[in-house]
Amino acid sequence: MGWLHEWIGFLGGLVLVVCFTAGSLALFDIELTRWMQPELARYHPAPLSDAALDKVGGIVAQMRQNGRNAFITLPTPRDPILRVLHFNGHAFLGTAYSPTDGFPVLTRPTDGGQLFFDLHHSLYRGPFWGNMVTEIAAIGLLIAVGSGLIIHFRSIIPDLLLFRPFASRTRAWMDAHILAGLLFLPFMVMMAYTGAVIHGPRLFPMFGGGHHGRPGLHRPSGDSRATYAPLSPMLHEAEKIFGPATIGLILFENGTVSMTRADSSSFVLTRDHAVFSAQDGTLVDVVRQKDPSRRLGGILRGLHFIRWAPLPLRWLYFLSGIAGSALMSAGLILFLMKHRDRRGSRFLFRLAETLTMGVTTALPIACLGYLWANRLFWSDLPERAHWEIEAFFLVWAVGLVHAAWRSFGPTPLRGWNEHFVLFASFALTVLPLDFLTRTSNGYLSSFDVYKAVDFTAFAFGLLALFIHRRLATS
Amino acid sequence: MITLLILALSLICWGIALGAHALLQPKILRALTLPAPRRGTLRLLRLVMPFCALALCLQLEICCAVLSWFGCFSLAGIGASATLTLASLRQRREHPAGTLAV
Repeated sequence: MGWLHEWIGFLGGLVLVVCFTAGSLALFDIELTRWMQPELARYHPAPLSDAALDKVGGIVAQMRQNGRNAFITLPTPRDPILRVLHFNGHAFLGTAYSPTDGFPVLTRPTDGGQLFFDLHHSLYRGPFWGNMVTEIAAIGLLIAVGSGLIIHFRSIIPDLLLFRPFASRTRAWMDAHILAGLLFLPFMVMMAYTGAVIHGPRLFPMFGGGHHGRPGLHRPSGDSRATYAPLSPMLHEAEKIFGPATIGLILFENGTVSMTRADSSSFVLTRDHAVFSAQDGTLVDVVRQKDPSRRLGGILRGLHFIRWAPLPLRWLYFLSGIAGSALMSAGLILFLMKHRDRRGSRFLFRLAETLTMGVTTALPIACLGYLWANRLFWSDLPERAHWEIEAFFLVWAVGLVHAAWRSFGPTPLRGWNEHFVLFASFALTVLPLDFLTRTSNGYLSSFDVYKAVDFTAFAFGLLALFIHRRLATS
Repeated sequence: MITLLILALSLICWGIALGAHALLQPKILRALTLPAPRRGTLRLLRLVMPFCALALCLQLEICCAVLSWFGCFSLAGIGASATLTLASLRQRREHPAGTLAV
């Protein structure tokens, strides 16, 4: 069991640290997208008007006639703006519109927080290989958790809170690994299980297809219709069926318009929808998921995506996800500690240390580099969203090269320390970066999504600085 | 706001329960060089406090309540462990090795 836990844990852990870090950030994908569109800071939430919706409906009709598979997302408390989006293979991009008059709001194009969603479920290498690797890693996590439980079975209850930072370094890391593993066991098992089941149809195609919570992914585009019937009466009728303020998506397909329930409207993520004729706006059908197996799938997706939850619960998920990432990082470091004395000079060990640094410290630096690139690239740069992604992967690659340089050299521990210094520098300066690159009235008078991102980055920066000081003095 | 308050109280309840559990473990007391406390009260706290946290969480919607209860358990465990470690470090400063009878 020890061997199984060690090797499955290490190989799976390299992927799972990426999945957990990106997944934790993806919990706030909408908020991060808003942070990365600072032009929206000046807009205050306003109710959706019928005129705005009908006007945007006309824009979508034109886009679909031109072959773009566009759809509409309605304003929500998390994202109080009307958006017309299309899928570019990795993220949903598009234009924001004012919910009061339907005029476009000039925002910089960005993938925003959706990069982390893509990285979480497919390592940005979807839809096949990336997804397959993360699915296998999720199963690996279940095996590692099971074998870890068997190894520590006798001491689970008495050692539940045991942490000895003053013991030997290996003992302290082991305590931290076990402590986080036991305390976050319910979260880890739930996320690994629901994640594996959501992607189950790919691993077991005989059980049907899953939609991954993505609208319009495989739907044909190229609607020949030049205009649609006004959307606002359809929305009002759909709200009579599903309840007020429950509609989140308006999808278009084969001469019909689907008013689809928002993922945030219910714990069970079922995408129930009312179908209307695009020609005259009459109700054609109401689709509700009644099949128990599909409803069970909706429950599992609801548990995993947590789009229905209030903000404090999403923060609980975020902190649990970060703890999961730290747990697996501690496991990777323990693996290196165990083998450093006997195999420290071998090529494979140095490669293992490079990869470990690549996922545990270089990835968070790249995430911050992505935020920095978003604010430093000028807003009308051609293919801006693409260049932001390139910046993210470039910073990650540079971090990996630096990790390799240090790991294959005589002072690998300096590599860790330098990464922490770099991370702290990037994170602690996100707040002034936001202050200098965003126009907003009353910066100090309210607490909004922008400051939440700034202060969260600041807190992680302080933590990195603390770790750097500990590493420097030890 | 109510959700936040419920979660904060639930965290405190779980923290007390887990702290009491830790103080009932001879191995943890030995390892952290903490003095042995009165066991009766600790047993009662360990038994009652998780139910108090559950009762608080059940003021929320049921699925939110269950997830919050488990989430609070995890975070409160980190908090309780950190508190015990700090107490242990203080104890070690005040009573260097060999001077404390456990």
